Amino acid sequence: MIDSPAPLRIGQDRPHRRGGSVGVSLRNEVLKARKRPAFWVLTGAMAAVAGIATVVVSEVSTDGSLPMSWTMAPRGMANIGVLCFGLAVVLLFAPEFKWRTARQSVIDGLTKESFLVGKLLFSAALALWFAAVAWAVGATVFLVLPPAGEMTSFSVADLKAWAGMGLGMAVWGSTAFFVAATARGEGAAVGIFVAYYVVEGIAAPAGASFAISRGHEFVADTISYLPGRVAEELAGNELHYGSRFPADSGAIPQTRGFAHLAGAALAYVLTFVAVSFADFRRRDL
Amino acid sequence: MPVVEARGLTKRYKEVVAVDGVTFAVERGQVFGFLGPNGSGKTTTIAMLLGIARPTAGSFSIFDASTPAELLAARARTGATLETPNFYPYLSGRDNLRIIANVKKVDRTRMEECLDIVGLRARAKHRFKTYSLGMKQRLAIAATMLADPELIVLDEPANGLDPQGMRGIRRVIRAMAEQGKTIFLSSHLLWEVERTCSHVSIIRNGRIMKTGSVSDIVAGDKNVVVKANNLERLLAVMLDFPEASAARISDDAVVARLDSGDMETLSRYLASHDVHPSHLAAESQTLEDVFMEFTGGAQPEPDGVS
Repeated sequence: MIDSPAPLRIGQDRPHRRGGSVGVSLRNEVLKARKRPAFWVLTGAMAAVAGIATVVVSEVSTDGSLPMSWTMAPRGMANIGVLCFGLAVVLLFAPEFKWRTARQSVIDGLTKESFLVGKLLFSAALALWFAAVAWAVGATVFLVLPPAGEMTSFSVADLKAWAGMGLGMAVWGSTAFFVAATARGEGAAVGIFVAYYVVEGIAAPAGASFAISRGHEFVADTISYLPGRVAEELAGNELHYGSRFPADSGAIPQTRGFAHLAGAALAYVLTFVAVSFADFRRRDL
Repeated sequence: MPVVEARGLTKRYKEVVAVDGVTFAVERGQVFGFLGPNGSGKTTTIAMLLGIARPTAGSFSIFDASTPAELLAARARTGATLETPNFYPYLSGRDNLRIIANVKKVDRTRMEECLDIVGLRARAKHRFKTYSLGMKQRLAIAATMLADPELIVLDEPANGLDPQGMRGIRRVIRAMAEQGKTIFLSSHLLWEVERTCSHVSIIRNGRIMKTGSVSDIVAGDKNVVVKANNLERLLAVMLDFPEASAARISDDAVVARLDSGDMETLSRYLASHDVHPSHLAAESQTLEDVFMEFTGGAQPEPDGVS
């Protein structure tokens, strides 16, 4: 008990090893997430979204217009799935400022950089985890409700589609990371992230249509480079299966090409991460 | 070589100077009390020493380390907590300690030992958010002790504790001090500091007002305590007495610092002004008296935010 303290070992008899390793930071992130109810709630939400998305795809695909392949299984990663993933990133990062655990981590011996790199690596691991959940749920749904079309073997297009969805997640993940690092409050960060997701999802297509109707091609083109638009196009069937997935008009849809969009996505990821690091290093905790 | 040394440490937030050229040194084995009212710059000073706030000017060293790389190594020899206990509310006390233990590379046995020392082992599996404030403070103390640090920095460690808890914390601090650890303690509990610390610095408006050993600071002057029927009249007379200063009403008496005069001179002075005290006695100054004198009577705040 505190009233009768046990003998205390003094510092000299204990070897002092330096903290600051990214591995320690990452291990702590796993421990924190594993025990966080919000993490499991969002994983469940992701599984539900993936399940629903795959059922819808399965229904749509009965006419055989979609490629029945590996790509359809992790469909839940796109659209609402990225919202779940982004929210997970925000919820596992932003409260560290409110609880002042970010500052305590630095006091305890982590550098600001290793704390942040641990968060970043964990966000990447989180993306893989959510993708795995989406794929497992999607594959299970396909086993239970097999689509009418013929299953194809894994192709380069499938690989690119997976990569596209992964890049889309990276864009939203880095956006969430940036929002969490700069807003420094759970409520504010969630609010900003969700608001941006919703507003961009609604306003960007409407704005682009309006701009085109007024002959402002440049504005429409600029809007198409917003993070959510890039992520959506990267995850879209048109990009990867254009010739096998004609638009409503019957014409083959035009896309900007995988490399072009991947470059834009990576630019967003690098920018958001770099700004997050710069801000975190500059500001007092 | 001082364990902690601040040299002209300054922190400015736009127009506000939170810490203004603070200089002090904490030697090995000292229990150093850092006193100041709310907003005086205590926590900001500690935050700079712990590397979570950047000084605007000045410098500091911990274990003679002053570069970022050296300070990282110095922090491994330091256990510290700042303001309120900072833990993950949804994690258990044990898991919270495990996170720090991972950073400090401390084994599980030591973790359990620290939980034992602060009397939290039985509640270690419960979530931090279910803890009382006293339990949170005890967990923070356990966290600072984890790696057997040579320097322990505690910001308001007795905040929210009942008398028994305060006594327990005081015993732990004394036990650590007896083992040669250096303790830097920010507290609003002046009598606790007086009983626990060997040295103090008093900070006000970001400036150090007084630094020295507790015994030197409180032994420097004598207080005189005078009681009379009309306290207001007594205070007015005492304020005019040239050989005393800092006269003020404290409870049912007037307390003043006796600078050069003696009790006999004071007694004659009061009689000459038709004041007949019912009680007249000299007392040693307490840390509270010194604190009041240097902080203009500002009461230190219990929330530790400064």
